[in-house]
Amino acid sequence: MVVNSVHWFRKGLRLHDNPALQEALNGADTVRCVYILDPWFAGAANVGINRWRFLLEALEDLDNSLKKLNSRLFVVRGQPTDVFPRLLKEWKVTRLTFEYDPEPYGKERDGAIMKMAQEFGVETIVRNSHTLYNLDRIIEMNNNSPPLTFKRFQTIVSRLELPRRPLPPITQQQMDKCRTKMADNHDQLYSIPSLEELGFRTEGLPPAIWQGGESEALDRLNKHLDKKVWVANLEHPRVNTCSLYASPTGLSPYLRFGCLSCRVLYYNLRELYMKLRKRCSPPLSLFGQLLWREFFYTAATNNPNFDRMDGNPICVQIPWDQNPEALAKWAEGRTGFPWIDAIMTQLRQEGWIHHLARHAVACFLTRGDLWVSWESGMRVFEELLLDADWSVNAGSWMWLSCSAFFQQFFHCYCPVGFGRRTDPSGDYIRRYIPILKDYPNRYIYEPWNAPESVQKAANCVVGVNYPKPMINHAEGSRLNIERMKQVYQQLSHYRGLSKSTNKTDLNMTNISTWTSQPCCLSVLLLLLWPYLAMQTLAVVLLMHKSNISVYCCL
Amino acid sequence: MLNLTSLFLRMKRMKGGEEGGDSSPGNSSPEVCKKVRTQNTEDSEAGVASEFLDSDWARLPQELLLHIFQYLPLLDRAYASQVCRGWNQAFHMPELWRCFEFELNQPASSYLKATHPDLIKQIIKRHSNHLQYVSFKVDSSTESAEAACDILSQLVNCSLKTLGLISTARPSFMEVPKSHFISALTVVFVNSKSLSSLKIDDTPVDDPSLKVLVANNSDTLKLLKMSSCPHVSPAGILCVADQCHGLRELALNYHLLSDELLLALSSEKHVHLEHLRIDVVSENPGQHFHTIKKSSWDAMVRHSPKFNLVMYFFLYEDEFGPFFNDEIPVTHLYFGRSVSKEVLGRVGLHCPRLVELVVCANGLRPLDEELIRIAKHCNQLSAIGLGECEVSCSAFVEFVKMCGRRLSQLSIMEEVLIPDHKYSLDEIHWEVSKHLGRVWFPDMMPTW
Repeated sequence: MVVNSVHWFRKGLRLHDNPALQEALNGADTVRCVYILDPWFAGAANVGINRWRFLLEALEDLDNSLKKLNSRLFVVRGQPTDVFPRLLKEWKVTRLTFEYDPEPYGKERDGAIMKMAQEFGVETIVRNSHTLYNLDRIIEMNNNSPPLTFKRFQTIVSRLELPRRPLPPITQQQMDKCRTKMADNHDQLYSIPSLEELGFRTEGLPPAIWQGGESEALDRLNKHLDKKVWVANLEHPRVNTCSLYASPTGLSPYLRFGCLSCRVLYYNLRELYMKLRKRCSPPLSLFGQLLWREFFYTAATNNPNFDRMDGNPICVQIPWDQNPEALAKWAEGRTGFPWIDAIMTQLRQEGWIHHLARHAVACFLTRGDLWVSWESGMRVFEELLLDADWSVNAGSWMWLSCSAFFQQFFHCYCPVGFGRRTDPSGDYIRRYIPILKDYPNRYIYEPWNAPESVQKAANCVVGVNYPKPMINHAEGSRLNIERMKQVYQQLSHYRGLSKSTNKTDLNMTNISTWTSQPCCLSVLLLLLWPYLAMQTLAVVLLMHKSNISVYCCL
Repeated sequence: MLNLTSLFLRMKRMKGGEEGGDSSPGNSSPEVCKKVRTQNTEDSEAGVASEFLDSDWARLPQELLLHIFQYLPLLDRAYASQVCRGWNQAFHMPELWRCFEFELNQPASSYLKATHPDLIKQIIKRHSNHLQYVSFKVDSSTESAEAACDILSQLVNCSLKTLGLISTARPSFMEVPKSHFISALTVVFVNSKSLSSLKIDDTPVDDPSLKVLVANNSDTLKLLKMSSCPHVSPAGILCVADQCHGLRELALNYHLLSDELLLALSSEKHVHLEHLRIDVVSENPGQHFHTIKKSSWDAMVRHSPKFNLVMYFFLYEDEFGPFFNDEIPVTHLYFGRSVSKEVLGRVGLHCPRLVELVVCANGLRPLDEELIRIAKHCNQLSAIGLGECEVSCSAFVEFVKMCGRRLSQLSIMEEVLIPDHKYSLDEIHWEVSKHLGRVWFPDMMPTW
């Protein structure tokens, strides 16, 4: 029987550690690697130019790598549900392979495609390689609900076997066995679109700081490991000015698009540690970045409402303000706070910012200053940030706005002080907000406080050349800490509804209500949202139970 | 929760008459319930069984309905009230309308739903004289705040015990024309005459309106929360303290605090104060703050030895000059912005009653000495939170050891702890857990 395989690239844009692709090649007569892309959709999607460019570069890289193996990448224009029936017939496909996508939207889309494939009599093979572990297994081990504290997650992961070892890249021999003849008009039918074709204007576009693709990813991986050896420090480096700039060894966008396999990174780090430290096994903290990614994927995989407040069982309903003007100022870097504006400018220009910078701007937008919903911030990041995948982006925003995951909300990042402490030289500001470059260090983080003479000498008068601060931070943070306290106090007040129906308890409570206790969330849902399906309630109660057990396992 | 068996027994008593001697809810069991049900279906024909369920549900005694309705959220109660006349009557019983929270939101400024305007009309029409515990939650739009004022103006028949004006986002009460707000508030002050708790933070309340409050409610006022009310002066609040001798909880901004106020609150006629909350907020850098004499604080402590003094500081680092130079009886201390090592050192020396300490930010020099000093001198400290600070692991372990198990809340950001020759980050949580007597980890932030 002739086996004609199609491997469908979505994430996992690589030829190394790609078990699904290996399955496509295994015993096949022909193999075609496809990527499905809808240019009409490009304009409507909340995806900025940097992200599209990265993706197109990654596709370009795949195509080049496949060329070396006497194959090509087929970029098919359209939507999967329309494209597949046509291709399956045209190419007489008998086997369809793709990497497992754990996100709820992905699972739904793939479910529909698998059903369709079945109707065509096409065998579907799906393999997990986007996450380190099998996420369902983690959920199962936590009483059938995803761990909602990072510590709990680490505890569970530490009980699992090591992640499956990465597979080597596909080889020339493998491809030779399933050589597929390319059509003469391949480039006309299946080429990678350009940014212009997707509707973007590219004149004046600066070169990409983050070059997309598997080759670049693997190159960076080597540099990343070399750097670790040189620094001889495998732990969390303290953040300094340098960390704020795009690092030539940064890997997060490559993990997101799957240009780099997370397992390859995992095992490389592990082996490096064991070689340098001559110890048996590395601590979990070595894999910080990878485990956070895994944590959010696990929390999101069964929750299609993970990216919103309304209808999301793990998200506290906070009375955020609808303020499009404030949101626009934040998104466009016109808040009048140089630290915030510089970060948002770097984000828009380059597509990546350091995680502490993310904390600073997320806090400023939500619970710190503007009191705008985290959903709005999430959407801006989705558009601009190269490594923002759905689960990690939504999860991080909920975390940073203290909307979920039992966060302490007392700690607020000051848009002046935090910046100054991170980069006392002010060079980061000068780089991304050139209009402020002549300000002395003393005033560069708070130019509105500079005397007029200093402002004039720096050729930048606040209110004329650079915006005034859009909010009084002291007032704003004072108000907001009150708001957060109100939300969380209400949760504990509702605990005994029968007792409190006759009284609105306005008694003040002390500062220690700045932590959200685990039981509050379940109470909130039990009493304020009686309309929730019992199913969701069960999730909440189980979640409550699982967090208590964290404290019992000594 | 709901005791269905007692419900059935009660119904049976209504129907039967003789039985139902031991209808105590305590020792009812499902068997008794079942027995009651089967007995009734045996007595009557098949058709009457359903009739039993239909008609008697409608004839449930009102006090029973009230008891049940009190467990239902408003929406479910409203649905229930549509079932029959009896239930509709119960829905409108005064006891169910003692407490209400008006939620006033505009779709353009808030994601949350508002209380339906028809419901508001109904309440004002039928239940305004039943209302005793009322709060208004408004979003950032001026319309919502104005709507709240309109409702307030109509509460002429109320004798409210509790009134709360709560802004859930930007303080929109400040955008309402001052006279409109004051006249609405005065309606309540004058008519209620029994206000016990009043929460009016971030509103344009002023000295004259406080005088009206005092003139009508001085015997009953126990709680007054009025942080960030810029139109009130120290004299205004002093008037409240002088006249309202039952005042137990007070929240205000530092500029309203005076030696006279503290002395008034510690006068013989005055009850023991339980809770005093003070917000110290800087409007402009280099702002000057007055000092309070140590003798005034001493008088407070003598008069009310158990009172909580909660202070929230939102100042620039160089504005702390007037503070913590003498002993101050603060129990809960929150530093919302960066506070210097030096000030924290003074806190260690001068705050013996300290129970909770939160430091959002300090800087890049370790707070080792300061923390140890706090552990030594603040023997009541049971909660601490550290944000952007630095503490060496050894000093931190020492701190925890000195405080021991009284530390019920230890919230430290992971970046705060600096590993040293004695402890690495992985080891520290075991040490700390050991001394605390429970499992402990620092707080984490996602690194992605």
